[in-house]
Amino acid sequence: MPLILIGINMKAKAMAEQNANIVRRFFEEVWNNNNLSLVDELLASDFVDHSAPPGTPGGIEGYKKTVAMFRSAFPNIQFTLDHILAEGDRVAIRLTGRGTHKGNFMGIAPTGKQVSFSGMTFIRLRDGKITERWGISDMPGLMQQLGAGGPGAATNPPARANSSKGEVVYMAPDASHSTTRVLGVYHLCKATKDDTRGIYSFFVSTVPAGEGVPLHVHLKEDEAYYILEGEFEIYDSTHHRTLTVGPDAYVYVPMGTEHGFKNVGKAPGRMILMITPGGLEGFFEGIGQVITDVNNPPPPPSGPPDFARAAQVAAKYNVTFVVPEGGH
Amino acid sequence: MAESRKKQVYRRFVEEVINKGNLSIIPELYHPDYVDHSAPPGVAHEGSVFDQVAQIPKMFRGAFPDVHFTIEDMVEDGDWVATRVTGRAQHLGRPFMGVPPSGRRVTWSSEGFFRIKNGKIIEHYGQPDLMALRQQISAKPEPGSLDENRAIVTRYVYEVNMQNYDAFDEFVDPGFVDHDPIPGQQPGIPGLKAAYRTFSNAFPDVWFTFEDLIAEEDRVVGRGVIEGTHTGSFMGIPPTGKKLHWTGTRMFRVKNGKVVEGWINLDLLGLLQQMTAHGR
Repeated sequence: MPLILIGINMKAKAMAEQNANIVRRFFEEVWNNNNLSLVDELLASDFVDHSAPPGTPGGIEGYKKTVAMFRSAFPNIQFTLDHILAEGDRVAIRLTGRGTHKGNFMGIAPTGKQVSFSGMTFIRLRDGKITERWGISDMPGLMQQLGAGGPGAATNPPARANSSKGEVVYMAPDASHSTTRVLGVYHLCKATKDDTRGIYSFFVSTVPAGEGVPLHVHLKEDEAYYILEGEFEIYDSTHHRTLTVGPDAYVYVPMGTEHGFKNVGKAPGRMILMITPGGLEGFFEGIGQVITDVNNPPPPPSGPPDFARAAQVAAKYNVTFVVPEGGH
Repeated sequence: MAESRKKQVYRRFVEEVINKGNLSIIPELYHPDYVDHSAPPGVAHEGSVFDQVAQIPKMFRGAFPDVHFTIEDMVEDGDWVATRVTGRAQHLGRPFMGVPPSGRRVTWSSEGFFRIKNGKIIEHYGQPDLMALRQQISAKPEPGSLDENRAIVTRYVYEVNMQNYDAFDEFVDPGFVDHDPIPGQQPGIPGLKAAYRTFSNAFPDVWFTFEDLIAEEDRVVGRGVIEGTHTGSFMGIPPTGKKLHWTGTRMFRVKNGKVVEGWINLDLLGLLQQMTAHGR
């Protein structure tokens, strides 16, 4: 290829990459962080939504209405961009939306259900702004999840009465409510949701070398990690990268986001795990082994893992394990 | 600039497989390790991977015999091509998403992600706008409209295909005039039912599919194909067991929501030739 063409090609690639970043930022800010001011900043004044619902204006104001409509129905709605392709002035994305059905949606009264739906969108940009969009979402799949008894109609675990006594609680270093072992990782539960008026659950997790938590998503809890000891790889699905972090590193994972970690050091590692709202201790207990004596744990279960039971427990707590896509 | 190799693979899939129903070239376009992440429920995981690929165009063409995709845009990045198409079709064949053939002209969008390896499609995610499609085929036509006439004729032919002759009264006027009766056919609905039974006795799986349908004023005219397995005597020819395929043109006049007159012209010569041909 002549040099000048290579130069043009590189310039086109750089523009495509820049466009992809604008689209990432748009979803992150407008949808996931509810920052509507970015709509005005990132949509061109002559923006056209070719897929605006019938009866809505197809421009910027119409797009804001679509966002507001989804947010009133699913206040915690989050989008994960599963795949982004960029060429020339267009960006094509494959995405998954997740949220809790708390308001009217297309005539369906709130069901409290956690939903997840796929979509694809083509976007055209000009001078760093979005000028056109063509989007399709799996509306039949979404409506089916909202329908009574349809597949994927997960239900919330029932909220239990708050047993917090409104008192200061001190807990000795080794003390815990319960300790569970899940896939080789020990979770000392310092606070269950019943200790915190449902606001959070608090764990100190000990992770042997080479062990970790596989990629998964929970739909209604935010999670934070704080590394105490050791070296961990943590998957950052927002930026599609793996972070290698050590002591005092802090990582926050919003609900509906793929995450997972692995101890890649040679020694056992420890981290604080805070999950809010509380309640996922029930998931650990359901999926793992309850350990009564941490210093003298029983042998891990023999035989293959009971995937059916794991899937049942995961469904109850709205946790989805993610099988990584192979081959690309 | 010429279209890239990867985009050409997708274009060939649309132009040959979707628009022409040429399923035989699927092995040229699809990788033996193909994985479809968006296969709709009901797609059987049996036969070769190419048989599985063929099921979706077959299903679409079965419901929408004249389906035509127009490629609106393609975005290529690395091994992947994202595609955006507009589908146009008439719902003249089989039920789709539980909706019986509606006679509707429909337009919908579809987007897809395809991974291409060594010139063949190896991975796919698809997002057709099924909600828009279902809304269009299940919309109730305006009374007295051409859409309603198309719906009546399409539904009538479908009920005949299903050999659901009791549903006739809903679509056929008691004074129905058949301008092309079979020899000895009695007038009215009873004669019509008997004529259809003559066909279904000779070809128990007989199925007429409109490939095109045109409505004007109170008439609806369509061109179609008939398929059936010859397991009973027909026109004095003993059963051959052959799967036969012939063409036909039909016209109806519709009045007050029912068909009142019918004309039919079948390629009986082609049919007789297939029945009497040696071999096959």
